[in-house]
Amino acid sequence: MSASADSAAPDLRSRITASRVLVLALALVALLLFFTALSAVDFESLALHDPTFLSWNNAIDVAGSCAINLILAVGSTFVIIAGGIDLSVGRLIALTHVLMVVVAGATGSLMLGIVGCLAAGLAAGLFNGAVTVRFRIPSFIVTLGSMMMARGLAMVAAGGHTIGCDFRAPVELQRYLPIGVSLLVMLVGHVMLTRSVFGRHVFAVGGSAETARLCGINVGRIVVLTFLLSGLCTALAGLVFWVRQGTGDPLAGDGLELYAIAAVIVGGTSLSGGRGSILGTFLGALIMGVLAYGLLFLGVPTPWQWVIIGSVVIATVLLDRLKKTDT
Amino acid sequence: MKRTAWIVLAAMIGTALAAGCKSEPQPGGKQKVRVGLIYKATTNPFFQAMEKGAREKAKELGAGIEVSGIESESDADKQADLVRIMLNRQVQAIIIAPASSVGIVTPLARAQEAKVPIINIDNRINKEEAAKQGLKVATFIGPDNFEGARKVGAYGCDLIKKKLGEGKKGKVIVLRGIDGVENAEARRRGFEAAVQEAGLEIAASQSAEWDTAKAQTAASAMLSANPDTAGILCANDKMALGAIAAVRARGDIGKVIVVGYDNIDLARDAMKRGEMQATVEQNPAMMGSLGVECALKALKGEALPEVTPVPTQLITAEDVKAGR
Repeated sequence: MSASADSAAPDLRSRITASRVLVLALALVALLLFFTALSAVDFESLALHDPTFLSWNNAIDVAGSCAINLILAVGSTFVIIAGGIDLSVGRLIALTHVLMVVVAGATGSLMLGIVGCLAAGLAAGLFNGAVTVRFRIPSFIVTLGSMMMARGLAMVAAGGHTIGCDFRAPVELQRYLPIGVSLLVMLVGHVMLTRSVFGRHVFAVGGSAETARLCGINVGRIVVLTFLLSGLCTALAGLVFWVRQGTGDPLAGDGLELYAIAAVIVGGTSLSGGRGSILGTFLGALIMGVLAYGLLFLGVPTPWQWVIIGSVVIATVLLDRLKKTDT
Repeated sequence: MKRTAWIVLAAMIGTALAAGCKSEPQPGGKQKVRVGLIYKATTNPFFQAMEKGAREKAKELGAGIEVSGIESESDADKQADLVRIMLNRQVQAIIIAPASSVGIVTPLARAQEAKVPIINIDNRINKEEAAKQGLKVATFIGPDNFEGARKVGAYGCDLIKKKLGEGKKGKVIVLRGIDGVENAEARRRGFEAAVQEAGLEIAASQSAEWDTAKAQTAASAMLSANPDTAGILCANDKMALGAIAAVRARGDIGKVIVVGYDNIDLARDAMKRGEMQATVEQNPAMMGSLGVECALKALKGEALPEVTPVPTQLITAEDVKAGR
């Protein structure tokens, strides 16, 4: 591989990313302004008051409600860039945090509980990756299966119902820890993807597995590693879920894998692999999160929330497509 | 291009921070009292009736009301978000029908911190968990689920005994709500008590998580395993509709007694057609209106009883046919 080819690749990537980031950032600002403006209207009397959306407490709650999806989406970005998909992330939240509550309850040690949570996430990631690579089964099928398994196992671990926990995060931690963890995961993910050899290999494998193999990259190892990362992210998301909720809920995370994938796609990562960025995913997750929270905030009926969120997913991708044909 | 993107991003974060640092909006003193109602399962007519009752009462008493609900009963995390949103929208009291009787305690602790009284309706907040976290609920407004289930269970068992004749030990199957949730557990116990008192036997029992489609699958499987089943006791009407579909698929309509809970319109239609024999009316509208009343009382500092009961009523197919 020549030096020029090596430096040209990341340049192309970042150029695609930069235009995308601009569009997404503007969309996010527009969303925030939109919700702020509407929160100042009393819909019964049409009178104006101070915008309730604009407060420190609300800003923290918005960020907190984005945290879980952001963490999941960072893991999924790696998997998707490498050409795979991980459908199990939502249900794995349930499995990891339920195991944490169970282990912490049985041993009386929160530390051991957290270790159990992380181990469960990594084990699930290893399972997804290893089965995908070893038996050459599409990751869609493998993770579809493991999603169902995780759902059942979470129910078994919890004994069939939501369980209480003797440990509880202090109120301040409940509010700020999820945000801190999600930002940290995002930053580490960004550095790993853009600054490490591993990150470059992920792009190479997603771009063309065959070429990557011929260049001497151990493709199977890279794929397994992306699933391990995704598994670790589900454990961290599970931890955040417990911090926010304080219980072990075996039905948690239902459908969150779709939100995570939507955030990744909105963020400009290509579903066919080889292209994408954590920065885009970050903005994508924020757009999805702010939108979902804002619609709840305004009290929009649930069916319309789905219609609106769905159209925004399509619209952002469409916007990017139109922009690209212009230039 | 890349630089522009970074500048926009920086500007955005700057705006966000500036917005965040802006002082908290003051709740206007001139505004009328506003209460927030948070419920679960927006698709369930039961909760739609509850919302209607609450809105009417709020209008009558001149209070403002914000209403929000989650679509699926299992979406406890989203309901926790709704609690935070209601607080950010500065409602002065929260009326809540929790999706998770355990999981809602932590999110509600913040309402208590903000001195916002909590009125618990429909599904009771778990007592041990609330005690552990020091959460105080102004009052619980709800039906006696155990008594309601025992009433409708006993009616169903009577029909079975009449049908089979004395001396035969009829088999029934039970469709439970989400396990671990207080009202689901109370109804399960109510059914079990009724079956035991009637001297019948529970051949199988499964949770269908309050859901029609899941109930149909579960009932089909249990009916296949126990073809001599004489009746199905369902912890809500939506599951009863699923059970009816399973019975219909076997061509057993009329042979198998089905009872439910909630008295929703679709169940009443099924009773008119003779597919279902009884249900329980919980007066969700009254629950909603009592919720608003109690919230306003709590705001005035009036003492409320620990439990405010809402009477349940047995509704049989004869009642429905007679237009009751």
